[in-house]
Amino acid sequence: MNEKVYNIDDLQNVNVDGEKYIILQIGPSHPGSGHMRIKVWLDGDIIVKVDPDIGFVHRTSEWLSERREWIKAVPIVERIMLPDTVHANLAYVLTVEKLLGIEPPPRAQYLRSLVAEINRITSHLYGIGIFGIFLGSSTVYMWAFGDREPFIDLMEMLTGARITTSYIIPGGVRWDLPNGFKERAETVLQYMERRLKDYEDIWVKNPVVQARTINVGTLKKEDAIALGVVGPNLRASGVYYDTRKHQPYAAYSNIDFEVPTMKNGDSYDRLLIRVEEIKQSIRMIRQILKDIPEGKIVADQIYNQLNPVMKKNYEEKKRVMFPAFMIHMRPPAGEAAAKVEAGRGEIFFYIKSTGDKYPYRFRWVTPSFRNLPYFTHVAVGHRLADLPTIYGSIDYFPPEADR
Amino acid sequence: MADAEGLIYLGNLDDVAKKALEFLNQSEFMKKTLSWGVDFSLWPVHLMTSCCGAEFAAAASPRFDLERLGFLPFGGPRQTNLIVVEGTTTIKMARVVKRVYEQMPNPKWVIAMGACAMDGGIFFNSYNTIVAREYLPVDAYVPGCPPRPEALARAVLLIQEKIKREKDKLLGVKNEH
Amino acid sequence: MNIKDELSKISTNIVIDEKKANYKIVVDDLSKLIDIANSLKNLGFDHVVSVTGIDYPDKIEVVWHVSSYSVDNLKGINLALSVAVKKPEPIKQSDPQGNIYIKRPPVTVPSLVSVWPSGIFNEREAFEMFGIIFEGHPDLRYLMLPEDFYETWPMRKDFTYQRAKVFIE
Repeated sequence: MNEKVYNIDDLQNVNVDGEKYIILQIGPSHPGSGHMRIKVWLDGDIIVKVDPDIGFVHRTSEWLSERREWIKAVPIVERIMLPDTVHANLAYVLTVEKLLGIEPPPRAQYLRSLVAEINRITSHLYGIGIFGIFLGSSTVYMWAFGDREPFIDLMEMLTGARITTSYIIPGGVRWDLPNGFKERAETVLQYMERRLKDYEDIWVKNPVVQARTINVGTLKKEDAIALGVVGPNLRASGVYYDTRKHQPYAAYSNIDFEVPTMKNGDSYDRLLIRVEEIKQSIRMIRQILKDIPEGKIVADQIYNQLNPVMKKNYEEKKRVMFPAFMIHMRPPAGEAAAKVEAGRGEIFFYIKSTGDKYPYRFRWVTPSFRNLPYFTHVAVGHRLADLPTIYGSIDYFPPEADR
Repeated sequence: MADAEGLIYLGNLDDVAKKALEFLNQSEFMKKTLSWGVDFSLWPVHLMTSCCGAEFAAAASPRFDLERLGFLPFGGPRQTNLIVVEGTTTIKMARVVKRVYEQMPNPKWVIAMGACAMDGGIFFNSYNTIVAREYLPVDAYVPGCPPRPEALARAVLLIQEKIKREKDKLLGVKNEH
Repeated sequence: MNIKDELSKISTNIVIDEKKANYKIVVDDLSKLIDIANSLKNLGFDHVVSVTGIDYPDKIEVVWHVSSYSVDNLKGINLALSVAVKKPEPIKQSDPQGNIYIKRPPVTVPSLVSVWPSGIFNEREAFEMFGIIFEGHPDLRYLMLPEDFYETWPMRKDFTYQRAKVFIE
């Protein structure tokens, strides 16, 4: 804790049950809190109250998207969720497709699921690595970030960019599967399966990690439902809910996968569930590469509007450049909502169109924002030294929460 | 041995020490050694301002491994001499960045990473963002949205070149704190 | 359980668009809002996904999106609960230097945090962005914006800003 502020005025203001508490401000320039400040009231070193002070990365994505053409919101939402770009892109495009009333062809649906699952693995590895830093294990950070790179390379091979892919466009995807992708993917998946065993030996089943995470930051099932937390954190508390199962999008209704759930809902379960989800994602990528149907990668409505040069390019290379006519896209008046299960949880989009050049109301809620109650409810009663464990285990990404 | 006035055979010890230090400080060997030492210990403060932090973390990871250039992220601002502004800074964050920058001891350098830190990027007309050069003296810019880790490595090399080029300025820098 | 029948028991004013999977309950009377929310909660909608406002020239629409984690056949539904309130007229004020400020007064709706605790941060965000005061909210403070934006309500359509005012100490 490099920033330790004792604010005398505040100390006098907080006076619960006649006792005076120490107020500790953690962050925002602390590696343990990233882009947010956590204000903690302490009794000795027991946490009495937590007030997350967010907004250090509030980049006004909603305000900006309401003042730009529809397609220009794609890069904006991607930058907000940087480790999870594909899901943000997919959620926005799904909402726009609902407004436009177009349906992408099956091959594009499979490609969307493929790139989303690759992205989910990178996102979980990112989370595991950051959790390692929080627990003081730089080995796991190095491992996870190193093992994230082969998957980022796969994404780069498929989409042309490391992270900010802008791969999914209304009506389909931009690039087809490149030659040699299946073999490369299989190599990477086998490598990851080998590495997962190493992770279990040195990290997941490590007695130090277990001692620091088991029964720390427990959220019971009823509380998880009432507080509306999302994603792997929700499933770690034992709630069977996954947007991929319950509101299927892309090709998930054709893919066979399980939704792992845990029982206790403590920090250790939140770690385990990410490892389990990586295993499920590996299984899904194999299925997708086996079952992917032949056909077009963009819907006919989009294909017919391509100019002859782009059509020729499409026939030769199976690639669609980001079509310039999409700048003139004007979805008909109405409103649409869509949900996507991202790496950290559920993204929700609610867009209202008046048939104009710009969206009238652009609302989106990101998983980290909905996981904020973890700080206010779960950390209370623990020791201050457990706060980094809780923070790391929920895989909170501040730019995503602030939007 | 010195008598009551601090004189020995060579004169006043304080004066001699000062003269010797001055001589050493102005010698080319000392300057080279110091700049060589500083340019391989560029420790950036671990302050994430925005989403480019993900690529900053990737740059510190084994594949790109910027630690081989002496680039080791560090927690407290007092132990660091480099600040990387990663992407957009909001008005709320800019005040924090400025305060962290002021806490860092001299000499110190600034890298503005990403299009948003350079010129606003895609958030250029947002009401809550501000570009890095408006509140910090920037030494190196890294274009890209987000820049690849290699680009950040290039900026570190540029800073190292700058340190070697301006080796005269390293000595005699006083800290205000 | 047919969701359409169940919803029509709760309110008469429902908008359903099966194609886009839109379900919306429009509440006409502010005093009925908490009752409707309670009956929705009894039906199985147990958490809030998003709370937001929509700024129209004459009114502000407040939309709660709710969904369910516990009831299986409600898990696929995003239900919107919408209520519209009339905006007060903006007030023109001038300071001693002669600059004219337009002050846009906030609107007031009942808070649903007592029904759905999961909306607590969402309602704080809607408050600072749109100037919607949620009556009965336990902790209605600014969430993200610094103090520079006090009572500016940036997500309203008539919000303007001046870059020259930015001050970094």
